Amino acid sequence: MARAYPFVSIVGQDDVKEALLLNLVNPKIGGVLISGEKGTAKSTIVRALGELSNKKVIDLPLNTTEDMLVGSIDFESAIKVGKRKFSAGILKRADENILYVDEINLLSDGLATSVICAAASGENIVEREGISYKHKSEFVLIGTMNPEEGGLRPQLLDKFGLFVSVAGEKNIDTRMEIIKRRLEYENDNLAFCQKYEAETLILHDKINKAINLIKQVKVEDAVRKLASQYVIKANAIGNRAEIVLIQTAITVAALDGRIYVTAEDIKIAAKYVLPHRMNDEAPTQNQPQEQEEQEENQEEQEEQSDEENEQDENDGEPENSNSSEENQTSETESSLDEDNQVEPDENDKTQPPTEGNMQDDEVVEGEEVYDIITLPTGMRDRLARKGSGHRKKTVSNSNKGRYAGFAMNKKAGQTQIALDATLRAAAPYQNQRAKNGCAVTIEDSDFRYQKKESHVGATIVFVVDASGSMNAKKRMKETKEAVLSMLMDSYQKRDKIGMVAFRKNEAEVLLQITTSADLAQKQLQQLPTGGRTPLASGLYSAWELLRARRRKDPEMTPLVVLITDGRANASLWSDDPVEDALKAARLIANDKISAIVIDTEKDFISFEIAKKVANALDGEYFKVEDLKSKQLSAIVNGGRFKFFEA
Amino acid sequence: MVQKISYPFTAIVGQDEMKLALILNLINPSLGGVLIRGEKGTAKSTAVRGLCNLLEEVEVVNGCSFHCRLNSQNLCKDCADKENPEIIKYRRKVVELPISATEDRVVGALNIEKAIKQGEKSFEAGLLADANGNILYVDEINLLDDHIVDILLDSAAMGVNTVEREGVSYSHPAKFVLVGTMNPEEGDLRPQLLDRFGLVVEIRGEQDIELRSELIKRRLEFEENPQAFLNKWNNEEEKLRERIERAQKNLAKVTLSDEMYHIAATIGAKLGVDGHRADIVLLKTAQTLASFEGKTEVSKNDIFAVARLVLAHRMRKLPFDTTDGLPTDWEDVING
Repeated sequence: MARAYPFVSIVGQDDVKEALLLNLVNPKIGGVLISGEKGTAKSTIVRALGELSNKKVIDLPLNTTEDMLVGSIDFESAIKVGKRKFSAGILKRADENILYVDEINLLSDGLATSVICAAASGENIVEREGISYKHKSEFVLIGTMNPEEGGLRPQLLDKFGLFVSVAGEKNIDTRMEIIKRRLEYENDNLAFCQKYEAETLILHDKINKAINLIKQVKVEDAVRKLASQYVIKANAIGNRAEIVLIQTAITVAALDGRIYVTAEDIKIAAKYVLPHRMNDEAPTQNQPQEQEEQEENQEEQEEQSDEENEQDENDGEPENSNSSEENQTSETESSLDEDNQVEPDENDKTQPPTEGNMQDDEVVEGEEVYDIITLPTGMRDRLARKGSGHRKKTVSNSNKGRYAGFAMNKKAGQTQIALDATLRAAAPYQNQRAKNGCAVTIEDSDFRYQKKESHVGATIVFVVDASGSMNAKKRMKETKEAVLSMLMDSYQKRDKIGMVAFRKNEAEVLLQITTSADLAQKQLQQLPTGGRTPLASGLYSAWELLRARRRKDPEMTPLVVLITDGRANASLWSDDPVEDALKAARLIANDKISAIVIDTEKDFISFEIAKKVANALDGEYFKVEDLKSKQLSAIVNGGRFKFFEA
Repeated sequence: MVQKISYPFTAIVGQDEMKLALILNLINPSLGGVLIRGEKGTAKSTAVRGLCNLLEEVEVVNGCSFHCRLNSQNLCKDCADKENPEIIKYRRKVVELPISATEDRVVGALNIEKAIKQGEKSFEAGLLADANGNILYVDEINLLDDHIVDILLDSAAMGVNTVEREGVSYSHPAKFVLVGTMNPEEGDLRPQLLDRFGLVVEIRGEQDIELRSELIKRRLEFEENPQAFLNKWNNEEEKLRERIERAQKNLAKVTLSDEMYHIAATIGAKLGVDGHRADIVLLKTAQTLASFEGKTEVSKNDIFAVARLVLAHRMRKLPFDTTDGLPTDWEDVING
């Protein structure tokens, strides 16, 4: 196998390197979460770390099955020798080593929970398939993520001792050096590694010295107090932050060859320990000094993103929904300001997830600004609409999706046999069973079935009123803004989207159901307005579209989003346009399709037709101006959406 | 089964950018694959399937499921342990991954027969194993299940497939050139995944009447008698194959001056491309182009010639950023 890129030859990314080294010296720190944009050597650095230490880097691939993570009965020995033996999983191999999860934000909930439990307790307890086993599992947890792809569960986030966010180097000379070294490495990786051998040895030495030194490091009371002050200022919940902060500071000192901890050590440690542990309850205006440094480095980037913000406003893009400046975390913001998501420094206005926010099905209200922290926007994003997180990954009811685990009973739709689990179930009884030419005799009671897991996004059809009346009073502009913010949400959740517009005498399917939120956005921007309002046709088209789709994909969660001023004046079946609209609405309701109506009517005398349609749809009703101040969040509940006001 | 005859690559009319992108990846498999985006009926699949005639024979270890090449640094465990492995000739091929493929067939799984007959736990190789050293082709890649796309890109990036499922814990080399085709009308790939593709080509149907009629003529001729058509084009195919082989041999000898590094870094920094992957791929692609053209040194023109292939899909930073592709004045941006 080719040798990994040497740790010492990685250009820049000093924070990541430091955070990793600290963990190598002192595993008590509790791992590192590396967050950053594409192509910033995240994985390369972690692989290099393995080469540098005597620890192995144990991969946790995203498609791991549960039994492989925690371990299970070894069917080979059960069948051949008739012995119940524990077959170790990844958590056993990770003991005393590094557990590495690339794209940890995409890890399935089941696996994540097992990792969290082991990380918290330092042991892995297995009670499954006739095996009862417990073993030590102390590992350095390293995760990487690209926040663009969605956030991380707060529980998992908290398990990481340190947090670092990375960005590409902007300096041209540095960039040049990066390319040069990379090409040199690819050209002849042995020669390249040899070139850095001496430097690697020096680093090795430094690490070993630090490991020996660490037990002797003393922490003065004054330093301990300082640590507490930092934690209080950051308003982090619990004492964990303090403990990690001091452990980290001790390690910083040890790496520097000292046996005493200075204020500077605490400052360095705080940079990694506090970002993801900030609490939102009471905002602090005072920022610890370390921020100044970061700001200096990031000034340039910040300017850039400021410019982008301005541009957004000039383009007449949707405005921020929350008037208060502090409310940086509201859903609209995070969706519409996507431009900023790649700028990690932009995130320092974020508030972090905390335990207080973790109750299910509740959506967090507007949060305050924190100047001190850098947190990927994906996280706050996730937080703000945690209620709908259910939409992301679900146990599937069909044979589609990835094999995640097994079940004892065959469920409707899930008929694939889980061969490994079946064999393990049959294994212990092989001595007593009659053989018929095979090594294994399987009986009915042994059969296990695959539990599949897949992304179950929603299938959303937007029904947009494009009639002449929508032109009045900026209604169309607001409509586009509202749909756009929902589209952004749909992109992250991998929803399928269709779009119907109605104007003049008929409805037109602008977009067949697709996964491309981009296309939907383009269609929407180009949508012309004018003519009468054939509301009934619009609803009827949406109904047809979803019905056709359901035949293909019976498992989908359908949703109709109707945006209209309700002034129906073109009928479909009878002479009464409103009655027709209500009739079409009932068709949708009868098919158990969820619906939401956004009313753009603003006139003093209101006809409230949109409201009546919402009732007929058995759906939820919102005024467009409500959407500006509140945000909608949906969870899928028993196949139907439930909406919350956030 | 008789091998279906593919339409010869060299007989494809027009679509030069697509052809170039594919050829460059044949010469240098480390470029990171090609994604071809375009409307229906633009010879996307024809071009990819046509690659099989251009692939060369290599020497591999006999009986190895991963077609390990002896001088490779990326040997599977079995081959690494063998002292005097038997060598056979093996023609590299295009391995197709259908979008209905299940995860177990892609990454490999527990061998059912061995498990039940002998009670043994053993790994049955999947498509990623077969793809090692070959071209892996996914038609309509945008419709592939997300979790399978993740697996593909992970293996493509690391050159290793790590399996932790169904009681099997296994890892094996999986270095392949990933080629995907898609019709963007049916939904797009996520930016994160786009970035992993070394090159991306946007293609449209040929508009020129002359070319169109030539295209139809050839296609009909091929359908009438594929073998005769293939024979007719054999010479062209042979020429291209030799040229590719020469370019492969000379690739390492193509030098990069400091100025070229500077240009690549400047382009990356000035255009604000995410991360560093783009810079690296840009230079490697330019180097490969120079080698294909028989040059011994990369020039600025080589970099500019491949810039669109490498950078266009990396400019779009975020899902709703409508700035598609390179700014029209990008050359000025870099020069000025």
